[in-house]
Amino acid sequence: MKNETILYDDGAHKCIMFALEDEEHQDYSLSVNQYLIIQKGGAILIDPGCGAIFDELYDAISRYIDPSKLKYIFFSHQDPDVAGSISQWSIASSAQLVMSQLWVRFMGHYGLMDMGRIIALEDHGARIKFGKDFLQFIPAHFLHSPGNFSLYDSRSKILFSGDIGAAIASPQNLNKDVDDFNEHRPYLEGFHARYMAGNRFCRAWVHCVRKYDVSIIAPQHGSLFKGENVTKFLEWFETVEGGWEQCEALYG
Amino acid sequence: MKMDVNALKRLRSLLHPYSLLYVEDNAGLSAQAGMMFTKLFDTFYSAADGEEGLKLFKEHRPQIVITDVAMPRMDGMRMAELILQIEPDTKIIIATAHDEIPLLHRSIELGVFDYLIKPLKLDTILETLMRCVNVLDGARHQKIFNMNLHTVFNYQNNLLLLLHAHTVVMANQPCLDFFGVTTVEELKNKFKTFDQLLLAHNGFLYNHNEIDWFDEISSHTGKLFNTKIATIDGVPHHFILSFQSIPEKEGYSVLSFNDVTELGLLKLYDPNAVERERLSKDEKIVRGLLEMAMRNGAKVKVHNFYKGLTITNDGLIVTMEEKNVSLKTPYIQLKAIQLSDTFYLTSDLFPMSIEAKGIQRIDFDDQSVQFSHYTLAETSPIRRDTIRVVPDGTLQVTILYEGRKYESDVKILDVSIQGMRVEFSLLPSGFAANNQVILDMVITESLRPIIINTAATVFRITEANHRFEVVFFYELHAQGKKALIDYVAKRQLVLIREFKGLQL
Repeated sequence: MKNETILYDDGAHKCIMFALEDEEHQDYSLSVNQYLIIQKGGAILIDPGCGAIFDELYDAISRYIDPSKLKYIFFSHQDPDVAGSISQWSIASSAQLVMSQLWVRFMGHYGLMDMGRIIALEDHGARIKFGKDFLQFIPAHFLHSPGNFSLYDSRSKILFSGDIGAAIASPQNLNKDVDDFNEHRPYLEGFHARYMAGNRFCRAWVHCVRKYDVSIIAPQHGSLFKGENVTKFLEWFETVEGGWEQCEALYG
Repeated sequence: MKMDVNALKRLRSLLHPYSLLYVEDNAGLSAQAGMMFTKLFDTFYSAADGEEGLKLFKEHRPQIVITDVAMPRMDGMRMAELILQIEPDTKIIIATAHDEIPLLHRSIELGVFDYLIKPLKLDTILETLMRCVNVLDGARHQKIFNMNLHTVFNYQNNLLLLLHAHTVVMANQPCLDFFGVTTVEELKNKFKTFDQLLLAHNGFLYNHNEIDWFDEISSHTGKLFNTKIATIDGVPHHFILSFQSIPEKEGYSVLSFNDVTELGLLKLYDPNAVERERLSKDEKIVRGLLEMAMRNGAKVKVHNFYKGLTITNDGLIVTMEEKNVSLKTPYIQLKAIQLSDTFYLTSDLFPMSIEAKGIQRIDFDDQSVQFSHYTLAETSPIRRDTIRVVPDGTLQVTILYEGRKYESDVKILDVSIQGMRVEFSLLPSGFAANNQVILDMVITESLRPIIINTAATVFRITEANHRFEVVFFYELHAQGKKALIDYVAKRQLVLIREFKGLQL
């Protein structure tokens, strides 16, 4: 997989995936994806990542749109690999910064004091309409962050799922497309068992997602789920057991 | 039977609002029970059989009935059945010497409150009456609540509509009156073309090419909107509209219109109004805006600046007494207010930002500030598109204009990725707005200095105290822009630390 992929383009609406960063650990690697949705003259940037990739992402985005034209920057949650560059982006653009209300105060630590720039999402989410289409912020709380959202784009039918669907792969399998869900599943299991809060949240998220027609699930880490793999992923995710189910094992 | 005097007093006070009917054909038992019940109830009725009991019930409607089963003329079960047909909420307690399963089943079928075996024990009766009181009290409070809710719904000034999807299902009386209809059914028909009733006004909610009013409110639950609607006589009213969906009741929502016409604010929103400038300086009018926000519980944004750094948090106007306005806002904002003695307020409801001065009191414990002067700000720093910071010594600039360099007598006041504000002690001759210059910026914070070279345009020149302030605008090339973004971001973090570390 290239580190820049056009996922959808109908002339008026375009979705681009960037994979500008990898977290390399001793035994495994984790790709970090950033996404850009361009709708006519405006754009929304999704999970722009940490300060270290700001320059590279700025250049990558500039190939498609003037970064000052960004209307929104969406942060699925508060982690540094998601929101670490919020200060740079708040200077580089006049975009509104969209995140869970839980993390608004937290942003001062990343160098942002102007809370007027932030759209604080309430727990049940929100919708931004453009013509007949819309962007829906879907609750994904405790999966893994306690204030967490996925973003569904009704035009491209892509669900930007944040940490849900993240795959921890061996370096040689990094950025490999999900061709066979069953083969891919082992890369999902460890991460989700540890990072998801519990099965009830997994089921609640799947219930919300099934209200929408999803053709691609695009996680912040790892590979894309397309077509029938979307269904297989949702069916699997409904069965995921997380922290709650392992409480006794974790606490001894 | 022994009675605990305190328990008796307590139960008596609880039973005070209720009356009891006791039905028993055994004269001895009836007399004995009568002595006890007169000590508990203010109003107590006694009957010797079901027929007499039913007659007394119809006359006095007691809330509690204790009855024997086997009695002449009409038995207790039949009487209970007839009473519950008249008043289903009556609490009937069956007292019988016969512990018979069919009788118990019949009691359950009828919906009696309890079923006791004779001889009645005092503690059992007291315990049963206590449970009776709890249920009756709950029902009574619910009834009072419902009655008051109805009163609130109908007699408050807000126009209230309960919607199911896009259809009106209920409306309060002021709403029917305003729209000149007598029934909800008529309003339902009128609501089908409600979009035509929302009149166009600058900054207000109404249907146009880009906005469908209902889509707009339903996708912004809880947000407040300015709206203008005319009465049936054609008089325009200014309403604050809010939309709330009802949790757990999918598809149901409440529309509320708060009439603020008497604050006389409509002209403030009209950009062409001749009076606008005069109105914007009129503290009474600005006070009207603040009152509108307070009455509607509207969140406002509070803005301050620290060395260019924008500090913004939510605020809520909580009280207004004469000229004094009390605003709740977090500690960090209060600190910024104390440092600058002024602040700006913005809201989706306001036509422009409000500059607040005349700080009377800052209460850090209560997280509130009281202020007494407020004007509308036609131009305010809040309208800045980009983040500006006051630089440190690591950013220097040299200005090249008509072959001459200016560096020693210039000072950068603030910088952003789009422009720079510079102070000159002496202005180059012929220097004027729209002049073209070259700016050489040097950032020396790292070992290797970063040089940003750009063409710039003089946007504005102002003079104060024999110093000249010049604003330059520029369009940086990509590398220069990224370098300056990095500088401003780092400077911003330093300023945040500096601001947080300030001791007041």
